[in-house]
Amino acid sequence: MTDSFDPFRSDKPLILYIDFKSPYAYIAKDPAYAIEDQFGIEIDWRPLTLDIPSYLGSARLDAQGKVAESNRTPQQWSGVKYAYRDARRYASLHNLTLRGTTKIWDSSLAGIGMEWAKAQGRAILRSYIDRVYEPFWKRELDIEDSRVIESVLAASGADLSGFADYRNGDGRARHEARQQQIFDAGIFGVPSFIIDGELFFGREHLPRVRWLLGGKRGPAPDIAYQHFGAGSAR
Amino acid sequence: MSKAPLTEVFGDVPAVYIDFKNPKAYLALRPTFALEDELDIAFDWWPVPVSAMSRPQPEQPNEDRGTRHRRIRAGYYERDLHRYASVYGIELADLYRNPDVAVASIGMLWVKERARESLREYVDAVFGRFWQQRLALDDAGAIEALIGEFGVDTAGFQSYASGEGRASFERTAAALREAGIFDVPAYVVEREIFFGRAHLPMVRWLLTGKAGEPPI
Repeated sequence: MTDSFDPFRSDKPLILYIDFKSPYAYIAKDPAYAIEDQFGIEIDWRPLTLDIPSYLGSARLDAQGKVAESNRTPQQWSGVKYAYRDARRYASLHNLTLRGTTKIWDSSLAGIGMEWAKAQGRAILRSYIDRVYEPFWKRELDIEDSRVIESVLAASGADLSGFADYRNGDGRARHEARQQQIFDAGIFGVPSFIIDGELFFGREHLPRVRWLLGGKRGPAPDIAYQHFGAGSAR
Repeated sequence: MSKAPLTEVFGDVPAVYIDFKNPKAYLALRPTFALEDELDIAFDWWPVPVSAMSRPQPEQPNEDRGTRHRRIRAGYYERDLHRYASVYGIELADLYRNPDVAVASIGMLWVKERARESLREYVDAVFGRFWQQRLALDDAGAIEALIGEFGVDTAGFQSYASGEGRASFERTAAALREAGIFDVPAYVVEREIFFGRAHLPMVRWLLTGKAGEPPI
């Protein structure tokens, strides 16, 4: 199944890589839905399971929120703390809750579930993404628990027949193979948008993504965490 | 966020922190000037030296995943800077130069204290010439001459640059780093730090009383 997979190509006009454990991917979700709705397109949503310890070090907090284990440098800590604070301030403006995390989650099972939902249609995929993201970031959903993921799929309207075998067999194998292909292709973070074979990492590129989808009308825009009102296609 | 009392480090005026050797700070210049013009405000501009960008290492056989990740990420950021530089018609020279920015930064403080109306021209000229490789940031004579181009009195600049000005610059830079300014451009509004020009819509929203829809 991986033979036809190209990290940079899709039959859809826009590819979006997300990871449920990324707060930045979470706050890019609704703006991405807005793009689908505004341009009347379907995004090719793909899971990218980040290997955070490999590039940002790892850490675990205790029940009191104190660092229990860490191999991060001071610079990595500064970056991580700023990133969480930054994501949280934007999330709060849109009534999204981002609770702190005590560990680096393994989000691969949630990503495999996402592929399963995706195969069953756009409405089920959106429902699944919403039903995972919101409670996960409220710390009300254990995305490493297969029974939890199955219940989310069921609540999203997905047919679960065969999922147990899939998540342990073909689905897991395909996910891992694709993760390697994605990384080998140079896609390293989320949210990552791919349009016309070009990579844009981060939602600050949405003005450029919209400009490209809209036929490059007007001058090329700069990056910005910009509000897009109804009808705005900058 | 910070060990230093923010009220002592950051004033009430919205501030911008830049480093002349940093291409992200250079690309932020025009949109930041544009926001000043639109809102008829003047940011409090400060120089702060941050770490130079790390040059991507050549691919190595048997490199570990973290090394590979950092190499791929650095390569992406390089391409990203160039694609957005073209928005402003800017050609960026070597992104990874790491000159001593103290003299050019002290020159900025000199102009700011003595001729605030010339600060924009000075900052624009230093960035533009450095990135066109027409100015050495550590050349005190060149910096003095540049200041003079804007009609600003340069008498005493050399002794200021090696004495009081340098001490002030180093003291301020240390306090800013302590307060959490580790990257540029940094904007501080309502004592919140924002790294990167992508936050300008948020900065604008805050400075206009949070009117309208918030940025995403």
